[in-house]
Amino acid sequence: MLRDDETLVGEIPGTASKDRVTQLFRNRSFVGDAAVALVLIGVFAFGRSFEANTLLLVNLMVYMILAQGINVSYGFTGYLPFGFVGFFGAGAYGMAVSTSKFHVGAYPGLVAGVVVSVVVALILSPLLRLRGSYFAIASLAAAEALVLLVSNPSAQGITNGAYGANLSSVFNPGASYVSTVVALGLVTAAVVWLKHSPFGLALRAIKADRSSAAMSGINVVRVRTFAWVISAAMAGLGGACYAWVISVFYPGDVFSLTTSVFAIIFALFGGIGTVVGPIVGTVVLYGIYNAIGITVPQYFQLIYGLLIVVIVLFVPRGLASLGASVFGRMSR
Amino acid sequence: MKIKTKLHVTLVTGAVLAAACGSSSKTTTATTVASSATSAAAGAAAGPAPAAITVGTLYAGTGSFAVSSLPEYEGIKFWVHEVDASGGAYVKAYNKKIPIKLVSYNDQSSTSTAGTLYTQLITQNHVNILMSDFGSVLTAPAVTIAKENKQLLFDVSGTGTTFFQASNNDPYIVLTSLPVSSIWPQPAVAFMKSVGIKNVAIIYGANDFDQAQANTYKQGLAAEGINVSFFQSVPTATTSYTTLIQEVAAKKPDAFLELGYEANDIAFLKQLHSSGTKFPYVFTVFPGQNHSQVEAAVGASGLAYTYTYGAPPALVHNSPSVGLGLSSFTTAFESYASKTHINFEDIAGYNAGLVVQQALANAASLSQTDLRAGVLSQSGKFSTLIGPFSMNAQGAQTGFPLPVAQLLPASSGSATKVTIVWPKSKATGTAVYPAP
Amino acid sequence: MIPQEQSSTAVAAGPASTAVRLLEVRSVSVMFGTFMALDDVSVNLDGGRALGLVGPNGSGKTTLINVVTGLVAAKRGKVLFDREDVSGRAPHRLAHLGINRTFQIPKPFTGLTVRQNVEVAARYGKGRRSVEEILALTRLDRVGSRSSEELTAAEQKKLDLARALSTAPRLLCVDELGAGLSVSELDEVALMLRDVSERWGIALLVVEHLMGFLERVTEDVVVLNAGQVIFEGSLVDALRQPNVIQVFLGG
Repeated sequence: MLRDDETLVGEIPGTASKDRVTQLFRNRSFVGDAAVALVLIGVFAFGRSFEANTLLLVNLMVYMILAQGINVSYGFTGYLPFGFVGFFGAGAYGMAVSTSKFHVGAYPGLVAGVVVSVVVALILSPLLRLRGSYFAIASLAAAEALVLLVSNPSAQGITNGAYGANLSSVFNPGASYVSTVVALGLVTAAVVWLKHSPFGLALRAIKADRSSAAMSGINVVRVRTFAWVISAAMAGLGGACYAWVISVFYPGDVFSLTTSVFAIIFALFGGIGTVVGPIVGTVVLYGIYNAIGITVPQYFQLIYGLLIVVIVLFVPRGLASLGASVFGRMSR
Repeated sequence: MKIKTKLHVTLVTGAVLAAACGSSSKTTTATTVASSATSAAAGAAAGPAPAAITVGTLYAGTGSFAVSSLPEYEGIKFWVHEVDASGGAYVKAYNKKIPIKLVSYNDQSSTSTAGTLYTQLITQNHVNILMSDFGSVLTAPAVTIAKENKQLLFDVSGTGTTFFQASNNDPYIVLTSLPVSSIWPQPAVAFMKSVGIKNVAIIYGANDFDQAQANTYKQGLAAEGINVSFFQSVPTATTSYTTLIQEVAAKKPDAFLELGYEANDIAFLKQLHSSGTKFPYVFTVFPGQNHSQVEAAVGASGLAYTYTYGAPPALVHNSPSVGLGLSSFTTAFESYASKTHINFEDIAGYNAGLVVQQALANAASLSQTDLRAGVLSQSGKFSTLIGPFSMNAQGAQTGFPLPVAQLLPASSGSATKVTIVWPKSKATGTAVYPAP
Repeated sequence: MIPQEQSSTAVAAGPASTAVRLLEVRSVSVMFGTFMALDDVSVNLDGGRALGLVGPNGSGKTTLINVVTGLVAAKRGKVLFDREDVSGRAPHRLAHLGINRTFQIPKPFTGLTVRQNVEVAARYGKGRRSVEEILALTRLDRVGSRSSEELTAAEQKKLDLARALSTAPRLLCVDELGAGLSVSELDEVALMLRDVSERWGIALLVVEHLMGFLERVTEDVVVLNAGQVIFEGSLVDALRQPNVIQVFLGG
């Protein structure tokens, strides 16, 4: 596929790959990010022993996966897809249809979920020609079109249409939880790789300036499409895991715009373009969401709304930037 | 570089702490009810009787389902109030009356939040009885969670078709207050045949609730040799029917059925009225369940002579074998909730409580399987203000048939009255067909 | 050897017998809506040589560079590089062939350090020289670990140049590199350009308003006005032409 003069990951002249690995581990920032990923997996792997509400843990993980997907799309390439939930739903339905109609096992089903969302991403990739809010709105329309497609009575033979999905044939609370932990691990590792690889550098270059990036020899269309596909695959994996855990759902549940909005807010709150930002953003905001949702639901909207306003006004670059500047001052 | 590493470590520690705080704060709020309930869930008849039976449920305080969920929740609260006023519910396992304690959370119409909160009710609050929120969409997450935790789900009004398939092999769900929507149209089909309808147009929302009815209509009408000349789904969010009405008018059907949610029905009826197009028989779903609200939105002239499902409060059962009859319920509930109009959801919530009460009164222990056996053993043996209760092996409600009602102008002329017209045995008036 | 071009074509060639034709812009026209930005323009440049592009604002200088580097498509005409038709090729492919440029307003990759800016271009642009060498040459080695948006305007211009140089170009288009620089910075950058051009054999196509800067880099110029070539030859001769003077005084 790749022409001789078009590589996704170029080589720095005169550096062997072994040197690069050594170099990477000398990089404190990489070690820190890798540690974050490991700690995260550890926390969730043993999460069920300190938190009985496993669905809360699953929702946390799924939102972390989605927030990282937004991070890849917006943080690394500058595209903010409001219809991001379309990939989540595509993944959920890839899982549901493959297991309940084609009777594949749960693990091939998860793969099918990822494949479906990647295919959707490739079909939608011409949208990347749009910029800014035009792109955001077009992606939203695409997600709406997807839910209508899935719930359409003509599609009932495949998706079970408006009657929704029921994955009782593969229902397995233990395995689906572990798979979600593994999925979160894969997604976080992918973001760590993106942040520290030449490919990630190329993405950030494109985000900063397309023309300069192109004149640096970066195949802008190919690189950003690849990032778009990675981002969609993350959402698809999250959707497939969620579908397996929740097992009974309607099209509207897995294509709900609220899911997109939450993932975007969590990612922005924590800080995009970082590994730790979307994780912290999700833990804090989804934690607060659940805490006030359970204790003082009557003030929920008020508190949550105020919080978001405060973030936008005072921490526009996210918690990670706030943390960095505080530590920056302390070390001076 | 050093700073960055430090930052990561601190943030992760913070994250873990935040997660821990989150869970601990939740546990403290729950402990008050959990302490008594844990022993009950575990020990059943073996140990001493619990101080209270905990009933957990969710309601949608905001969002698209709030309008239906809140009345249903009011109905449940009213049931708890009534039971506790009489000294508690009789629990066969302990051979005594035990007070009911209600634990409830607001899911804000979000399914993923509902999922977390259902789990919360089961794993943190250890409720004895789990009741779902209004409708199929908010019930769906509870179906899996209940099964996973081996907790019986008292599904109040979630008639979802996939919930009750025999292939699910799911012994942890019972539908309390509504028949599965696929059996709703059965009386209406018989009525349409009786008045000589030959040609029918159906439009329906692309959702579980409406599509299940539409398909039952289609099959039932075909079995009676009635032609369905127009059969089309619309997205559930649709509120514009003008072009569809024109299209259907061109087919000149005797009957025009619009199966939607309340907002769809209101929009359809309004637009049909203002288009000036007339059909001999027009049918929508919600005027019979929520008459005052639909009439306020559509106007009496738009509703007049259309048909709907006859449900309580229009369908009157004043001498049920358990619980209050309709008129005493109306009086008591209106003063309890300070309402002037009750609707079907209020009654559905109360009725769900009555079914729970039957389960407690007939289950050998408080174990979830015994509770289910307790409910199933009473199938066909009692009636409530909705009607006779009947349940199949999958836990689906097959009783509570919904008759056909017509909205006839009341004597005063400025309002309509839900009049049951079919079956004959329950009729409170005579149908005016074709509509003038 | 090289076929002799018709007399209306500008040729920046010293001893023609040793140079090889690197760039040939053949009768290129560019339209923006109904506005003719370039009208039948032909320009030639030999390997290792330098050519200035001068003209008033809006005369089409930057558009010509945009056509050569693939950012703008020509409506008519061709661009030949190494005698190969490269018209309509994507910018990154042209970068791999050895065509590069700096931008009038530098566009560094914000959020990346100076070193990363150069690194990404060296990696994807298939340069052969080390990042350190490029940084040293452009005197950016001391600010290598700074974020690129913290640089001064002059440093950003040098970074843009460093980014372009790290892709090992054979043709470098330089778009108003001198604008906004102090006199000493001008000297430094002009020297830098001549130095890389001579040492690495890079051909230069230099758009410049500042004659003082231009004359340090090249003697050969093409004068554009309203999308057309109105003069080609030496800078000294250009400034004696009445029509050139009129264009500049009028503009």
